[in-house]
Amino acid sequence: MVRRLVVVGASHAGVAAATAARDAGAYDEVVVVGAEERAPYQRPPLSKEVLTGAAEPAQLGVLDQVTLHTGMRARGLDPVRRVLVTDAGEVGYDALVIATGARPRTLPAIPEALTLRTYDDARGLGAALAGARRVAVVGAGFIGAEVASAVRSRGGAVTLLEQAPLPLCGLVGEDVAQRLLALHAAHGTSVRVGARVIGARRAAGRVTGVELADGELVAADVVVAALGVAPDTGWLTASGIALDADGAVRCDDRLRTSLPHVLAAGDVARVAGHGCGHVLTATEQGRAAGMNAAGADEAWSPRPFAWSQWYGHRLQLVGRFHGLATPALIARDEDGSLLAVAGEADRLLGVFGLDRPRQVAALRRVVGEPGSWERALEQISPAPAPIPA
Amino acid sequence: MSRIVADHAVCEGIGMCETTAHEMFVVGDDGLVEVLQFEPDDVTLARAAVAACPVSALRLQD
Ligand SMILES: Cc1cc2nc3c(=O)[nH]c(=O)nc-3n(C[C@H](O)[C@H](O)[C@H](O)COP(=O)(O)OP(=O)(O)OC[C@H]3O[C@@H](n4cnc5c(N)ncnc54)[C@H](O)[C@@H]3O)c2cc1C
Ligand code: SF4
Repeated sequence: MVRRLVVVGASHAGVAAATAARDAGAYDEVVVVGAEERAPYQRPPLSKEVLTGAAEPAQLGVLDQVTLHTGMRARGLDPVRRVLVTDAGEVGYDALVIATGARPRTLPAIPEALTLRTYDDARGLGAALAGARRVAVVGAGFIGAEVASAVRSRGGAVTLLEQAPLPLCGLVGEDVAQRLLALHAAHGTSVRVGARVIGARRAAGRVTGVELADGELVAADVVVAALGVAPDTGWLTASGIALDADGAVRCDDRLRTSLPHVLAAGDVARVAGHGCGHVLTATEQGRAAGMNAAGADEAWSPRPFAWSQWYGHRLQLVGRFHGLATPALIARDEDGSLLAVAGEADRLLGVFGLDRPRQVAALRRVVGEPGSWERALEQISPAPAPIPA
Repeated sequence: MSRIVADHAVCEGIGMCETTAHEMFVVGDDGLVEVLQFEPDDVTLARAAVAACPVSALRLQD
């Protein structure tokens, strides 16, 4: 009997799972089933270099001795017979890793709104932006901000529409969020906060503006929805696997799902209560799932790290800022760069840097450790001060 | 002979390269990748590490 591991989804988590299992050598065959036609590629550049047309996304992973089926979609899973049902037939498995990621939330009020998740999305959006006179981006999170930044880099006009009173506040805290809002303004992006989109104005069948609940009309001929993502688990409904209310596959810290011999990793999963959302986490979870499928006992623990690029500036976020007793301390330079830290008792729990890669990297190694707050204060000196709003 | 080239302006210090091939890469004290083996013995492993970097800061030159 041939022992076969099947990985569903051929992106950051899936590729990491497949290569880790291959390297462990426990299977005769490692098969990856991916719905996209394109061979696995890096997703972060899609909203950065790919959108501006500066570069193509780099290839992801080296899949020697892995059987990759691109353009093949999983339709269902039969845990009793241990088969994956795809649109090209059934594939039997000894163990299976679910890594189908997430798909972007759409904007029901404006069906024409474009979303960004895949290479094809990025090419389509890039072409639409190139021909746009005014762009409206609904959602001012990292992806929305990167799209706005891409529009500005071509000299286009763009408005960010955000429902919350202060975008990204939950992630980076109020002080940093204010600074980031100012960064948009400084680069000519207009931001409307507290904006609830209710529909579109159209002329001759084409969108000419976005209607807000307060009656305002924001002129735009291209609308982008950057509203976050939902786990891609529609194909699993009949399998009996335990899903969270939002559709995420529920896993323990060993990446095990409720079904025997089935693991999950990446944006599709909620691992020990944590969502994913970032490449590093998806890759680490994928690697652990692949190793565990091959007989290891790797636990995954959160090590949140995110980065983004706005208007040529580098943003880096480690840990969290929300819900901490100590207010964030910020050091700011005349060059506009800033470093923010937050913690509790003697521990550093959150680090945010704008164009401060070295300091972020130094602090990242100690985040969460006892006594790390001291180290944070050293980096923030000589003049630590809670910034006024 | 293949040679590893690292672009420090791009490196985010994420450390995927080190996780993949710790004999070739380490994230240094400045938070940026340091190449330990510029001319890797194991080119396959080097290719895997290069492909693991999520920001394409690494290249393998022929
Ligand atoms: C534009 C953009 C920019 C980003 N920038 C950053 C960044 O700067 N830093 C960062 O850390 N993170 C960033 N992210 C987030 C990061 O890309 C994701 O967290 C990561 O891709 C998750 O990896 P994954 O493998 O879990 O899922 P995905 O990357 O979503 O991959 C899932 C794959 O499974 C396939 N699939 C889905 N359903 C099926 C099926 N039924 N059968 C077969 N295949 C299927 C999909 O087609 C897809 O290829 C960005 C995301 C986007 C969209
Ligand atoms: S994986 Fe890339 S970004 Fe991360 S440390 Fe290595 S070179 Fe730098």
